[in-house]
This record gives sequence, C-alpha cells and structure tokens, in this order.
Amino acid sequence: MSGQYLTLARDGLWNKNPALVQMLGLCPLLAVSTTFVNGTILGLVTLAVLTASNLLISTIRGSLDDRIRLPLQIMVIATFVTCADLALQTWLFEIHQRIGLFVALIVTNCTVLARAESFASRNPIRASLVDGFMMGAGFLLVIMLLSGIREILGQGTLFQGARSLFTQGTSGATDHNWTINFEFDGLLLVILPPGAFLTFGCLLAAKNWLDQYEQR
Amino acid sequence: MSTPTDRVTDIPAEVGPGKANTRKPLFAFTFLAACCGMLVSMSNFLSVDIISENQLRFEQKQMREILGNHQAEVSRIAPDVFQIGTIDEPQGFIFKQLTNDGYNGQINLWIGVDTKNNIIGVRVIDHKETPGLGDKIEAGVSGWIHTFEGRSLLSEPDAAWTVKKDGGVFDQFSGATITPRAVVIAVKAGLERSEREQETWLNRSQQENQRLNSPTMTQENR
Repeated sequence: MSGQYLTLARDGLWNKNPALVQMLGLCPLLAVSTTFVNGTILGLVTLAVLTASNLLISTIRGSLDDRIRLPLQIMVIATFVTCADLALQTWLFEIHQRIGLFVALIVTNCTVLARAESFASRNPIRASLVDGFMMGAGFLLVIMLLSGIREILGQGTLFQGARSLFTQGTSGATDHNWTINFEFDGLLLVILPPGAFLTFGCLLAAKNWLDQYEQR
Repeated sequence: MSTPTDRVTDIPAEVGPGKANTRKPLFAFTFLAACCGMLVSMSNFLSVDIISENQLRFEQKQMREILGNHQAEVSRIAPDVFQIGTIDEPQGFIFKQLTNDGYNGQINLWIGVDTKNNIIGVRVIDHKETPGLGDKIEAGVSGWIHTFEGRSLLSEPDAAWTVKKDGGVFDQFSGATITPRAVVIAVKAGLERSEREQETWLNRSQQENQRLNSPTMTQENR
C-alpha cells in the first residue's frame, strides 16, 4: 500500500519527472523561469491544478467514453485553471499582475493533460491524487531550480520581487527587502529564451549523469 | 485495489452509431459541462468584488507611493486626474497616462507633478511586459522608475527624453529597450499634457470645490 505511493512519489520527483524525463510542460517552464519568485508561484499553481484535475478525472473515470474523453479532460483542466486564476487575483493580486499572462497558459501545459489521460482516467482516486501531487511537485522543483539558476546567473539577484508576496493588502511598503544582490551584473544570455534552453539542457545533463553515476 | 498503470492509451476501437452508445456519453458530457460552468461562475461570483477592490486598492497604493511620506489630501478633479493638497492650496497633480507602445500592449502609469510641472514620482499601474525583462519598470522589481523624480521638461533638453540607446538620458534594461523607451516617451507626453492642462485643472478644482471634495476614490471612479 504505502510502497505503491512511494513508487508514485519517486516517479513524480525523479524517475518520471514531468520536465526532466517526460519533457512535458516546457513552454511555461522555459518562459516563466526568469525569476525565482515568478517561477515558484507558477509551479505552485500548476501543482494545485494538476492535483485537482487528477482528483476529478479519477472520480468520473467510470463515465469517460473514448469519444468524449479528451474534450472532457480539457474542459475539467480549463475549469480549474480559471478558478486558480481567479483565486490568484483574489489573494495574490500583485503577483497576478506579473505572471497572470502565464497562468492562463497552464491549460496548455501538457503535463496536466498527460497525467489526466495516462494515469487519472484509469486509476483509483487516492493513487491519482498522490500521482497528481507528486508530478506537480516534480515540476515545481525543476522550475524552482531552473529559475533560481537563471536569476542568479542572468541578473545577479535572487528573490527579486519577493516583497510583493508579503505586502499584499497592506498599504505601506515593508522595510525588509528580500532581494539578495550579488556583486555581479549577470549574463544577459541566460535571461533570454536561448538561455532557458541552455540552462535546461545543463540540468538534463546533470540529471542523466547522476543516474549513470548511481548505476556504476 | 488494482495497481496503478502508467501506459500509453490504446487506440480506441471504432464504436457503432447505436442509440444507447451515443446517449450515455452525451449525457455525461452535458452534465459535466454544466458542473464546470457552475464552478467557474460560482468562483467568479465569489471573487469579482474582491478583485475589483484589489485593483482599486492597488491603484491607490501606487498613488500613495508617489506621495511618499507627506500625507497630503488627494481629491479627484477629472476621471483620471487627482489633485494633491487642499483646494485652496494645490501642491500638484497626479494623473493617468496610457501608452500603447509597450512590448506587449498597454502600459498604464500614474504621473505625479508639482504645480511647476516637476515630476514628484511615476508608478506603473498595470502592464503586460515580459516578467524578468520588461517588468523592471515596476517599483517593486527595480529602482529604475525613480530616475524620473525631480525631472521636468525644462531639466532635460527635448532630445534627452528617451533611452540612452537613442541618445537620451534614461537607462534601458539589458535585453529590453522597447519597454523603458515606451515609458519614457509616455512620461514626456504626460508632462506636455500637464503643461497644457494644469490651468484647466486648477480652475476646475476651484469650481468643483463643493461637489467633489471627497479625499478618497469611490467605486465608480474607476
């Protein structure tokens, strides 16, 4: 029982990591990973949507007919993304001002549809819930790592914009500035789209190297 | 409980057009579409007021940031113009300025000027510029927006009101020139507008002294 969930966790976080192994959801991953805060928030929203859609798809899997399965899954995912978008505007308005453009695009994150299609629509509810959460967590970890690396190398800062996370709803600005500045101007290339591919390629290489190292 | 499988979908077999075969998925689809529709409209119903309140509070917060520490009275004298200070002693104006020259569409700004048309401060109300590149125009992301403070149409020659790349005095961002250029040019246009209209604004604020002296914005003012 618990061993099954452990396997699901290991699959989501490492063995079948949606970004590093399945190469899914690269569009938001590469586009939003310019600063750590933006990347992390998008990763968290993706995790929430993935878990919720897996849960609902698994609940209704009995009535999923081959002819309506795909449109139905997209409809469920779009519903949750819209709700998440509204929730973000309600509770984290200033963050939404910055990454709102990309939140709506979570619908097109293939990870979400892939998990609904290949896992949730043919597995029991609890396993689907764990799978959605773990795959989401795997995506979150990769986007955190990628955006952290890109922000440090590309701009010489870390946690840029973190302040607006904590000043939500208060009128004054807080004294504490969360941004860490390194004495370093940053390599422009890393911030630009090609830099996203290059950094992601390095992460891939590192993961594969670790896997091979373990085997030996 | 069966063990979870993680295999690729089988290609669905051709299903005949039998009546019973069509009705059930159709029913399921309609039912779920209704459920999803209800879920979305319910979340919209629950959040729409809070969101518009957030938008308003965000605009006010940006405006307050321009005012800084001196807690001046602010009153609305036109749909997008606010006067700083009391009606008898105006200290300046804050107005909205819109530009369509951003990298991703509109950029909406607050521009605060004193009565001699020197800039008190500029803030971005909303924009769709690329996170990590163009969004350095936000005060919360970088200090760039503060470079406007204290400047006026007289403090810089006309040609200097653009980014350094075009021979001006304002920094562009590495990787993003279009966004800061759009903001600089919009601020300049705002100053020109304020130079033209300050007289009118002053008169109007005297006239409407009675009607609109509420210090805060109200909902319909958006």
